[in-house]
Amino acid sequence: MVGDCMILTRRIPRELAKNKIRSLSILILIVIGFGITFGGIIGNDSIIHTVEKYQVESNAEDGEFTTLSPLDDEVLSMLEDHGVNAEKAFYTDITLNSDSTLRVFRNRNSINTMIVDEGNAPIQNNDIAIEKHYAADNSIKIGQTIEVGGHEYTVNGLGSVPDYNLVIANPADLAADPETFGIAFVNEDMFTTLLEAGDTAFVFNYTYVNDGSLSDAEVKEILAEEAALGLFLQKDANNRMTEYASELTVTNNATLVFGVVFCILMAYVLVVFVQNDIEKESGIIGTFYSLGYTRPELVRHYIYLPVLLVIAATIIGILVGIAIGVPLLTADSIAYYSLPALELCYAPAYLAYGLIVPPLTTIIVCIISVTRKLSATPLALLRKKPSSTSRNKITELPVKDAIGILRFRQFTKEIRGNLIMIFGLLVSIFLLVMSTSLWGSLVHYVEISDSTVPYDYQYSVSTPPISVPKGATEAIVKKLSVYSSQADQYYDVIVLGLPADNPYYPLNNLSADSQVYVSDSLIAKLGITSASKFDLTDTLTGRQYQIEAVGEYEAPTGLYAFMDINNLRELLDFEEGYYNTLLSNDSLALDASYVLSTTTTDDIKKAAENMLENRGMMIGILMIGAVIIFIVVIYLLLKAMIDRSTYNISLLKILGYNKRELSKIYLGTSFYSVLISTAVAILFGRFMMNYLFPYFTAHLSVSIQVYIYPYMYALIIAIIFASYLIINTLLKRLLKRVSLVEILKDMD
Amino acid sequence: MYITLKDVSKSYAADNNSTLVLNNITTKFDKGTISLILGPSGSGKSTLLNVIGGLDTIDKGIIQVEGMDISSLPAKELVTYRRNKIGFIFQLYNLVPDLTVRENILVCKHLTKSSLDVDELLDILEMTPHARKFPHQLSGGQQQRCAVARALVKNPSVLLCDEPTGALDYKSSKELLVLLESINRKYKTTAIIVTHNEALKGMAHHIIKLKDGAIRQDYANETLTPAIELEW
Repeated sequence: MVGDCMILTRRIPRELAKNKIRSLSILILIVIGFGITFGGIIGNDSIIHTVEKYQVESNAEDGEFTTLSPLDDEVLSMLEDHGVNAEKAFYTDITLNSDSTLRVFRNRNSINTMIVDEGNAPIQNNDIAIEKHYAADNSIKIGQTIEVGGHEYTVNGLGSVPDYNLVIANPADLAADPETFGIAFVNEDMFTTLLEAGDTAFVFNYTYVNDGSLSDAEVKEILAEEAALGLFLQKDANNRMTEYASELTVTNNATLVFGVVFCILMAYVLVVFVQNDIEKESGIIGTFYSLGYTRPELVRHYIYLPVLLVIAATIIGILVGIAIGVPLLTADSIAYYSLPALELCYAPAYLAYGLIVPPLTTIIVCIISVTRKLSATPLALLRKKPSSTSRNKITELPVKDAIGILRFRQFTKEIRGNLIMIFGLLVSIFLLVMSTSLWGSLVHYVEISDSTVPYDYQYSVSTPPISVPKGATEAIVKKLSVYSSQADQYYDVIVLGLPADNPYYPLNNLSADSQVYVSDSLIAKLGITSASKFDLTDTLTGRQYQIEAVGEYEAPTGLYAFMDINNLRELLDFEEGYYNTLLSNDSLALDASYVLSTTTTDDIKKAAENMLENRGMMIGILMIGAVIIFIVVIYLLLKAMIDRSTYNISLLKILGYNKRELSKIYLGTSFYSVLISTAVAILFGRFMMNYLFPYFTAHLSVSIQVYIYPYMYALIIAIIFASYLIINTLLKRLLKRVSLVEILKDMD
Repeated sequence: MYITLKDVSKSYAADNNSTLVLNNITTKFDKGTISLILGPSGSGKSTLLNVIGGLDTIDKGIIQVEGMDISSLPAKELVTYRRNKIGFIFQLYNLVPDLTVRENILVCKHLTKSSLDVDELLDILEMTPHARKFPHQLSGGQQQRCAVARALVKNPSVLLCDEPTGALDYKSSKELLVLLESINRKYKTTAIIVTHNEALKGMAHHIIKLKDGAIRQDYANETLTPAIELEW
């Protein structure tokens, strides 16, 4: 059996050279498809891997807490006895100019140690190491002297720390702005000097690493008994440390879907070409059968080329994805999150996917289709009458002129070819609709994000003032989790405790303690009704609360449950009068010492904009990739139809038909195929996104609805038809190149 | 007898009509002879060749080749039969366009264990100078010689030729016939040639004339004329 393989495989390089435009188009198609898929997946994976590795190297915290005064050493020793190693991470916020605040820490020794990208950690008393994005945005360079809180420091290091991947002042803040807020580190002596001088207010923050003997809830319990505990935050609930990953999942999931759909499209296009080749060579195949070749031998021969092409293109695609895709697609995330240098991570599962699944898909699909195609009898093949050839059966045509008759005959003869093209276009337009809807939905999310809450200011307060300031509404904000059986995961739900007669979400109609109103976004995310019972879980303590939704309020993006503040106090064992938030439509003049964070509608919008910006490149690449894939697919499939008709084209040329007439006959009907495909694919794509989008956004604790703006539909249609026009022009040239002697080849 | 056909009938059904293409054919072909099947278009001569070669089935009757009834063989064994015993030459050469002459011949060499030497065949067929050429670089006659070599390389005991000169000019046709004659002599191959050219009768040991699917004449040719001397 080796003999035939050895000889027939010699055809492969010659076939590639003979059909170089086709081979190159398929190669480009696969390289782009898998370049995007693997660039996206490996890029996202690399970010996650880099952070995870960095957290191990830097001994990242398991949690952190603040106290109103420094803890006694005995408390720290007691914690250590319980396997909890806590380290001081005191800090002071120093305003450098009216717009910029630098949070100064003591250089860390054991927990959350700094990864220095450039320079060193602070050694001398006047050394300062600065978070790299803050330094970049404020044009601070190594060796430069800067004044911080009246002291002059020499910048001797730039880097990042794992507890501030997202450099925000407060964990409740929504967006980082490295121009106005950053973190810095001075050496121990210098920090002690600053602390003892007491020129600025210090926050007594501690970070801890837990060996697991105690749960985080037990750690919190001990601390609450021993000290006046302020903030307590376990790692998983710390947005500074976890935000990067949840954002990545949107495009990661979209990229996976893109890859799967592309794999189907690729196999489909290859099958079309293999079948075309077989039809062209039916006489040769018939002869081989006559001489004793078996079907498996020929099947093997005809799948060699597509499989080798796929293997080569996939490898190139992966390399392109790594070399170009990864840096391009991770650039926005790296620019936004404070991470050390990206370390490429080639997850074996993805590489296996890349190297096995596409060739395997091609092998399986080709074996099935080629076997079917080669199942014709030797005589049928010798007579060049493959079973699948469409036969015109209509004898009376609705058109009478020659062009019309030929066009009609061509269309009926190529009904199968047109259906093949329609399916190919459906899949490639679907990729375009998918990436556009990703873009549209995030743009829409940004647009409506500032209308998600009816108040303009939300103040998180540490110690409530005795009386609620005028114009403000007291509230309790408590983040709990809800399990979604649909997505098989937990989402963060903001339980907002409000006075019954509050101006934002009136709660007068609640009759039972456990009753709540829920946001329409929560209903959409969980797939529940506005009258259903569900459980909320405190992930820190494990406590569960059964809640009954009795109505809904509009909140386009946020996952909220609105509860009477007194009922919530009772539910969570808060004392009477307790609140941790003030809501207002106007700015409040509050004592800064107890304001933990201020969130305005602008902040909410900015956070949404950041998500769009960070994912923008990936979405853009998906869209560009989808457009190129569409162009290549329409070119290949239209060309395949022309290739099947070269004999007839040659004949008509001999009979004296001109270029315009030939275009009308052979390219005219394809316009309708593109039109039908466009209409169906847009409707189908939009419909499918209702099911896919919840999967894309499954890890986000916000609700993002699928949205495509009318101008985006217009853009999709414009792209499709502009591409079609370009391809049509190219194919007219191809028609021109069909030789008059083509007709003679069949006589050889 | 080497090949025996007894009461072989075959009909094709098309558009609810049945056309009898072979009607009770009974004949035999001796080993190492050249047989000619003559007849007008539609007389059933190609069908007769195809059923002997196992490319088509029959409705009734028996076809025996070397004592083996091939009419009852399942499809898989028919492939083995063709592989081991049959060499086909068609009017259309059906060469693989992107393989050279030598490669086109080599493609079939592995099909049997007793295959012939490719270089020797190229020599006999006077194709050695063209061994590295692709089909599109050859004349029709040269392409057909390549197709003959491809059929012969597996050393078949039966060579079935369906209008082998149909697409060739006079000179090339004659050269091909001389070649078939010399192959028959050298390798003792049983050759059955389908043609509508009555002038070829002289070179055949055995002549069958078909009309409307039935044998009108079936006789042995006592006075052979060398192919080179044939005129038409």
